[in-house]
Amino acid sequence: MIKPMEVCYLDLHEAARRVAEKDISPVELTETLLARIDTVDVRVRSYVTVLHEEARRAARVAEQSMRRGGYRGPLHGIPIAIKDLYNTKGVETTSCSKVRAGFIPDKDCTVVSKLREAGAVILGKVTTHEFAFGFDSVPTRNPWNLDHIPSGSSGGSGAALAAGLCFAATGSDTGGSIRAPAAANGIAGIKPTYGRVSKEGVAVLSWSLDHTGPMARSVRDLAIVLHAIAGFDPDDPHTKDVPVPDYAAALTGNIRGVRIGVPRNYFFDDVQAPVQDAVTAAIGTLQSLGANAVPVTIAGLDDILDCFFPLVTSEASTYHQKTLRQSPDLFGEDVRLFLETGELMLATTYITAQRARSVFKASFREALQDVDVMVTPTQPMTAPKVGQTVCRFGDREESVFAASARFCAPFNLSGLPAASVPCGFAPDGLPIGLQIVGKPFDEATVLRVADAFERHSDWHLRHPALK
Amino acid sequence: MENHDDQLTEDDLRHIAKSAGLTLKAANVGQIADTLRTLRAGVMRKDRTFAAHTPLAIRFDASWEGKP
Repeated sequence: MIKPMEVCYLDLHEAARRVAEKDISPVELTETLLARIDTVDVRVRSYVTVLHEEARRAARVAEQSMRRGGYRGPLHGIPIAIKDLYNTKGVETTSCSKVRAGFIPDKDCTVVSKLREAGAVILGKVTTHEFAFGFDSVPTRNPWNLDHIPSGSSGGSGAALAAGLCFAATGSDTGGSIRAPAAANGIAGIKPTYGRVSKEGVAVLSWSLDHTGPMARSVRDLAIVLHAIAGFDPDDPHTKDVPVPDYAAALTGNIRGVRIGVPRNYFFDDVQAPVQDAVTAAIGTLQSLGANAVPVTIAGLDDILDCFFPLVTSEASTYHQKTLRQSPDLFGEDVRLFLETGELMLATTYITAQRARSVFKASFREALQDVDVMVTPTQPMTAPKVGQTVCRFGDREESVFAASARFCAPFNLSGLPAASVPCGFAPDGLPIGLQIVGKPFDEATVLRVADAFERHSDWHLRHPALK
Repeated sequence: MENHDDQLTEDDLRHIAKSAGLTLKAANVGQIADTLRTLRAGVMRKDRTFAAHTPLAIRFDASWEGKP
């Protein structure tokens, strides 16, 4: 008899196998997770809404459907969590902002529709930093150390996965908001290529930088969820009609001969020593599996964050233009500051930054020309403490916001697919992430490399004590 | 192009905001001025490194120059 704690930390694909083999039922899975949420989430605070009755009903429906031979695949009957930025029919969707208090969408966003179609059981809504504009994700705490933030903005998704409170979650990523919390919570996440997954019905932070994608405890789980949600959406003009491969089938474990670009510049500057050591060791592991590490230089990355911030603040300010005038006090202080800054950004600054973006995209394209993927640290540091505003790298101080975006935002600017997988722990017990970046629409290779690494490491198998 | 943002005063900012129908939170004005100066300086530095005919990257149709 499998113990409740072991059930909660099953990988999604393992839970799915047991469901398919009738070892465990969707109702049992759901009840076990709901019980754990009720016990543990008092401290982690990853959920803003727990859908006890709706989840139980969905689990019963899944179970009955399977009994009648209507098995839909690996998400059928599997409990998952949805970031509160995603519209969910009949369920309050606040983007964790007073601005949207009481907003109950009358339809699901495309991604949630697809997940329901695949048979997933929605346990509830998990926190986001207000409107995804930040990395704190208050009030959620990092399950590895409750004095630390879970990072963000998909902090609820990352913390819920690390705490064993769901089998997968949705995230969104404008400057690192899937990958940063994946790294901070010791779980996996992938920001797919711009245009790969629909953003219809997901609150906007920045039209040209936002991406939606999955978070989970294993790469195979990411592959399963990404396969379910990817693809062209006529309701989202950002999506592109590119065939969606079977990502799980791409996870062969074989990366012999794969060329792995290791940036010589930018991505290893101002990195905390434990992060540097863990990523270097991870590159060694990939080489031991037959991959070839190739040094690459990415030209002209100077001032890249100065070109990122005008885009995100201007676009966010445009989206919130009306509310900022009508009820500015409803925004949190940090978000209001960003929005006011974006309002005052010169149009020429925005346009020059968008032109600079062409240069960055070309540089990444060139750097990827002779390699299959690139690897970098996901974050230069481990999860900051709650309330911490500045990170220290040697003599240099950097805001938590800038440090969190530094290695992630370049791939929002370029639109390239990028995953984060756990690759170690710092002496303070906090997780470290390895970022794997691929060519446009080649999530399959990113996941293949990530999965091969995962098969030869055990970082993803560790769980916080949460005593 | 010269960057004149170092001459931007908090009163200037309040005035620009007012003309756009926005009242800035008083405590934010100084920080906004600093941020705008820093970002503008970075963007203009970058501008000097690329060709005048460089296009905007923004493409809402999600097309990618480097096709898969």
